[in-house]
Amino acid sequence: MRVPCLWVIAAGCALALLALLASMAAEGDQLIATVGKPAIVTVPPKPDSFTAGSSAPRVVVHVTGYQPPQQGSVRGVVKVQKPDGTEQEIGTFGVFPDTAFKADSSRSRAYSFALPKELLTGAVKLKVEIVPDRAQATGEGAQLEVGRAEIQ
Amino acid sequence: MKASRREVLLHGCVIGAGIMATNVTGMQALAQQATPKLRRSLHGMAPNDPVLQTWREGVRLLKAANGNISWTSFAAIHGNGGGFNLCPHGNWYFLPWHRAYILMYELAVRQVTGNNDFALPYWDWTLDRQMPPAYLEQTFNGQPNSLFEPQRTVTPTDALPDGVVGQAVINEILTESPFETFGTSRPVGQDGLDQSWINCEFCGTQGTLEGNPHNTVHNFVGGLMAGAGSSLDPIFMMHHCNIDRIWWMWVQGGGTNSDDPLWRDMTFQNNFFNPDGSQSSPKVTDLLVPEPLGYAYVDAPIAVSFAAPTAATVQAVVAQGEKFKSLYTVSNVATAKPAGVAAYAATVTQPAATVAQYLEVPVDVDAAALAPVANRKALPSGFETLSLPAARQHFLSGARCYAFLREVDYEQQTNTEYRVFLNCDYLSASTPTSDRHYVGSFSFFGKHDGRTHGGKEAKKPSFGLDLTSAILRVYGSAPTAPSKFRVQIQPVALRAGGKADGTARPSRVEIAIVSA
Repeated sequence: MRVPCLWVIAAGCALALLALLASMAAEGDQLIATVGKPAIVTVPPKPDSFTAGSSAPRVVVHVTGYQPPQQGSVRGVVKVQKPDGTEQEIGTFGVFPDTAFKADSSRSRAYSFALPKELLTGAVKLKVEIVPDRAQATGEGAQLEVGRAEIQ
Repeated sequence: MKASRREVLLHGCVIGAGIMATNVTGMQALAQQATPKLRRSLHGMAPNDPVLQTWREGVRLLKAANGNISWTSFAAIHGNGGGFNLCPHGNWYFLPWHRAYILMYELAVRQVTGNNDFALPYWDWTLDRQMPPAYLEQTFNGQPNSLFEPQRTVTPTDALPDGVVGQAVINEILTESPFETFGTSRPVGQDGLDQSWINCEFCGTQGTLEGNPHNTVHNFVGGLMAGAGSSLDPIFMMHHCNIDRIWWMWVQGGGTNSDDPLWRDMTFQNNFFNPDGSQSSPKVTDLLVPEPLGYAYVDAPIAVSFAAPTAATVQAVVAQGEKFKSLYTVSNVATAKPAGVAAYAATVTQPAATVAQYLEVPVDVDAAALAPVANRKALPSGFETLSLPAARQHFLSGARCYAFLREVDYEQQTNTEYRVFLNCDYLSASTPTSDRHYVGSFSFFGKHDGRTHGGKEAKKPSFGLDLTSAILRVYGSAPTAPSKFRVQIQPVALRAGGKADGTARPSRVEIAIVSA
């Protein structure tokens, strides 16, 4: 029964490739955010084969690099671009400890946010901004690297 | 009483906790208490409050000590400049571990101070966006203040923004589900209960509470608080006490802790110290309910309910309504002097408020009449998410203070928001609404060129603003209530980057203190 085995292998490869593609950045993505220059990440739609029941979708952002600001503190603000071109904020996160790091994707820091179902139309474009926490601060020097993002 | 859908009585939880306490293993030594002690909010807590006095003294004694029961020993458990030690971050042990960790401090302070009634206070940063005053002064009563930490980078006027700790953030956290989304997820690949899974740093996905506001508030304070050695800063325990309180509230509101044995059956082996210096190894299941551990966040059962308001609430609303009717049926509360209302007024002689220069109107008030407002107990943040009727009843049950800006003259009001502050010494157009002195905002809609419907002469608009919350934030912890208010109007641009030419000048500012 070699043919069915080959089909199983092929299907497995296809699924693995889909999983890889689901988390890879699209062309034109800007993965490094600084103050005033957000990271832009295109998250491919979740393959139907991975759909798990009716649980509410979530976006998971994997941060693989961070440099704190020269003064004060900053946070990451995650927004989703809506079909009409406007944006909707879906969450905020801080990197703690507030120290520089660089990690490969297996050691990235993951943050999850609820994704409104109405925004699950095809690929999702995420914007990750760096925002100073204090009113008078500039956040100068802060940098955040988004390794990948995925929909779960 | 017919229970409404999803009605949960905390009283039941307390009873259940008492039953659970008799079956708890390994935690009796930690608890050592028959009656849970109330953890109170720092909001409105006077600097010489017994809780703060005990905490200040306890920190001082622990900082001076050596050995297992000492400030540096406890902090080393969490981590130091080289990185985290035993504390889990970025995995699902984050909440239970830190519950046990700050409990260790609470029990140690009871031991070293001899005050067995002590319970850690919490920093409710949704209500108090700026550093608690007790932590800002280098000295207290002429002695070094053990709660002061010179390495903090936050200033007394820096305020946490809405996007970090605002009510919308808290609402989202309290309604989040399941546990691994709320409280951070399991380490990827976890297949057992080996101790190494506890310290698998950032091996899970940080949830709605850890990613923010936990992380962000740490960084906002800065200095030691922004690093792995953060528990060297005494504000750490108050910050984590609020995180712990939010976990407790989440459960009260129907949140369900994980039933996965990989979470529940994990033991934090020798991670902590008992007050006698021996090591303590609580299991996650030992840490799910505060009361057996010796503390509580409420001193009376609360009803978490979506039911219609209680009869008591309705009665309170009616009674307050009568007093407020008296405020709105007169054109000047200070001269009308309605029953149950202490009223004061000042005529405005200053120039109109502009973006470049705010308008400040001083109004003399009776500090004794104001004291009940400044001393009222604020509802901790998040409770209104659990029960809006209960929150409304709480709000109506105390004295309140209102400001009336009468007959406001205004020009060029488009794209202008008029922010009102109270007694802010550093006010400017960039002072955020998260500042403790912020009262509220108003704007003008439409200007009829002096004529109104039917061609009649238009009146100048008047605005009423509730000063109660701002008074609590600014004067709740002060020894006495003020005898003078400075009501400040600061115009700002409504749309960022746009021009704001709006001006405003009320003819009179009235203050009305409405008794409970």
